[in-house]
Amino acid sequence: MYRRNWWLLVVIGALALSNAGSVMAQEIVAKESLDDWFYSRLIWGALAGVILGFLIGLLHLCRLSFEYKGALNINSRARRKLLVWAAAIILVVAILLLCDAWLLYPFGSTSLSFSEALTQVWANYRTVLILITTLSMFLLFVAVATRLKSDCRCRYAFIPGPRGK
Amino acid sequence: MSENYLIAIGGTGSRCMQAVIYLTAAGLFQSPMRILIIDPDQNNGDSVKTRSLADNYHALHLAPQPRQAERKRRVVGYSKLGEPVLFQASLNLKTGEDKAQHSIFWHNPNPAQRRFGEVIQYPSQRDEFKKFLDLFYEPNDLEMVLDVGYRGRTNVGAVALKQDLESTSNIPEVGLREFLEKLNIDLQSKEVRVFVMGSVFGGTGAAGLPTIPELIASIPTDVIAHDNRVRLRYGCAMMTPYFSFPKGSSTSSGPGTDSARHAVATQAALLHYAHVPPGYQHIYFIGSPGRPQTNSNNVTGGQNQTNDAHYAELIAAIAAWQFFALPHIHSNDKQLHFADSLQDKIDIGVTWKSLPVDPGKTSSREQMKRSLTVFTTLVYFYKNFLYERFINGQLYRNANWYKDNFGDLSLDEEIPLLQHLYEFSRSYLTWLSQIGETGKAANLQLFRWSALRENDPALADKYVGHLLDDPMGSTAQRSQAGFNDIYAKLDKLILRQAGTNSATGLFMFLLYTAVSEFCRENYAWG
Repeated sequence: MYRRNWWLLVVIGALALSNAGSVMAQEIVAKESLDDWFYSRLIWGALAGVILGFLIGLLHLCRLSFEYKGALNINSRARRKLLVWAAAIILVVAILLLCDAWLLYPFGSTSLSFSEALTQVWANYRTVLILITTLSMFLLFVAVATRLKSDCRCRYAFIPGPRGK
Repeated sequence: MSENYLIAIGGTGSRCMQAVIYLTAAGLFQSPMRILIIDPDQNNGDSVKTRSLADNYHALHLAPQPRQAERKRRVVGYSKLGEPVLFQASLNLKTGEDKAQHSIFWHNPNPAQRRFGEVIQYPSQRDEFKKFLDLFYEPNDLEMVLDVGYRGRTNVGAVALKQDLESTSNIPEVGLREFLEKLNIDLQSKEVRVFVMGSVFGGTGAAGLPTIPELIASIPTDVIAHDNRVRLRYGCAMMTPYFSFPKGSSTSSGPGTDSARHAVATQAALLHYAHVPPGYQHIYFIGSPGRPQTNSNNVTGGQNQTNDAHYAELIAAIAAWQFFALPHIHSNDKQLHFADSLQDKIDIGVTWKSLPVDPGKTSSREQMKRSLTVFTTLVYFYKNFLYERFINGQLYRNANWYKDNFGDLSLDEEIPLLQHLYEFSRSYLTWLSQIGETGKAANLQLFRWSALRENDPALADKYVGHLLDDPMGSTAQRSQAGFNDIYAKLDKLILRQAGTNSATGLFMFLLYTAVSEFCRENYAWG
C-alpha cells in the first residue's frame, strides 16, 4: 500500500515536470498569474503542513497505545503511521490544488476547464514544489512537536534522543 | 530505627514467615527485620522455601532505590516523588560493608538421626527415673528419630527443642547466637519487641511457642544482660487448626502425623497454656473453621512437606504488623486478640472489610489494601509483560523511560537481579492464588483469584486492572487495557537524576511510581 502511494507521488512529479515548459500553458494561463497562484498556494501549503504536523503529532502519534507484546516502544508504529499520513496529505493537497485551479482561482478572468486546469496548472513543477513544501513542513513539525512534548510516547521516533546502554 | 524481631517455629511458622516477607516486600514493614526460623526438621520443604524467598528478598533489598527523587513536570520544573516503598526493610543484615545476611535459619548442629531417647539420655538413667519417664513417653516416642521434627508429639518437642536451643545459644553461625546478640545490643538502649509465630496443634510449634520467652529468660547473662530483659515485649500468633491433610500410615522411623488429631491437640495445649501462661503480652489467636486440605499427600516432614498457603498465614503476618505498630506495650499487659467475619450475625466472609486489622482504624485497613494491591499489580505486570522482553532481547534499551533515566546505568549488568525479581514475583503470585484456592469455603474476597495464575499476555492485559476484588469499591472506571495504561505512566516518567547506582533499584522505583499512580486512578482511591 505504501509503495503504491510512493509510485503515485513519482507519477505526479514526472507528469508535472514533463509539462513544465508547455507552450499551451503559456498560451492560456499567463506566467504572471501562474506565479501569483504558486506563491499564494505555497504559503497556504506551508501553513497547512505546520498545522497538520502539530495536530497529527500531538493528537495522534503522541497518543498511540502501547501493545502488550513486541517492542517496549512505539517508534516503528509511529513511523509507519506517519508515512500513511504523509501519503494521505499529498493526495489530499494534490486534489485540493487541482480543484483550486479548476474551480476557485481566477486566472485573469479566464475560467479553466478541468483538462486545462489539470495540464496547464496542476501538472506543473510549481505544484510539485507546493506539495514538497507542504510535506516538508508537515514532517518537520511532526518531528518537532513529538520531540518537544516531554510525555509524548514517540518522542524519540523522528529525532533520536539519548541512547540506552 | 527499632528492629522488628520475628521467630517462626516449625512448618506453620515458616509459612507465616513467608507471608511476613511478602508484606515486607510490599512495604508494610518498614523497620529492619531480624528473623529466625526454628525447625528441627532441618530440610522441611516449607522452611527451605522460606529461606529461598528470603534470599531473593535480600538481593532485591540491596538494590538501592532513589531517595528524594523528583520527576519532570508536564510543562516546566520538577515535583517531588515519595520515598521508595518496596523491599525497604532489611532482613538480618550484618553490620559492615559486605552487606551480607546473618542466617535466618537455626542450624541444629546435632546429628539428624538422633532418637529422642538419646536426647534425654534414657538408657543411662536410673531404673526408677526410667519408670517415671515412662509415664510421659511411650516406647515409640523414645525410639522416634528426630530427623523430620516432632511429628505432632508436643511432649517430645517441648523437651528436645528447649534442650537443643539452649545448647546452641552460644555457638557461632548457627543463627540463634547472632539473633540473641543483636537483641542484646538493641535492648541496651530501647524497648524491643519479639513476635513468635507457630501452631499450637503440631509438635514443633506447640512445643516452641511457650519455650521462646522461657528460653530467653534462662539464657546466660553474658548472652543477654539481666537488666536488659525488662525491656523485652513479646507477642505471638497462635495458629489453631486451619488446614488438614490426608490420613497416612505410621513409618518405620516413628509415628506419622494426623490432622484429625489437631483439634484435640489444640485443646490440650490451650488447657496447658491456661494453667501455665506463656509469657506473651499480646497473643493473636488465629484459625479457620473450614480447614481445607493444603497438601494432597500425607508427608510427615522433610523436603516434600510443602503445604499450600492459607489466608490464616496472611492473618498471622497482619498480626505481626499490628503488634509492631502498637504505640505502647506495658510489661504487665495480657491481651488476647481474636476476630471473626460476622457482621450483624451474618458471615460476610473474609473480605477487606472483615480482615482483622485494628478494628476502628480504617486508615490501617486502607493502607494494607492499597499496599497489597499495588504490589500485586506490579509483580503481575512485571511477570506477565516485562520479564520475557527484558531477558530475551534486552528490549528495555529502546524504551523511552530507560533512555531518559538510566544514563550510565545499565540493566544489562543486572540480569541476575531481574531474575530474582521474577522469581519473587512468580512465587508471590503462586502464594496468593493458593490462598484464594484454599480459602474458597471462607468466601474469600480480596483479589480476583482466577486472574493471578494467568500467563497469557492478552488475558493478563484485560485482568491487570481488575486484580482487586473489593465489593465496596466502584468498578465503573477500571481499565480494560491495563498494559497500555500502566506502561504509558512508566513511559512518561523522567527523573531529575537517577539517584542510585543500581539500575534494578531505579527500575523498581519507576515501576512502583507508575503502578501506584495507575491503581489510584483505576480504583478511584482518593
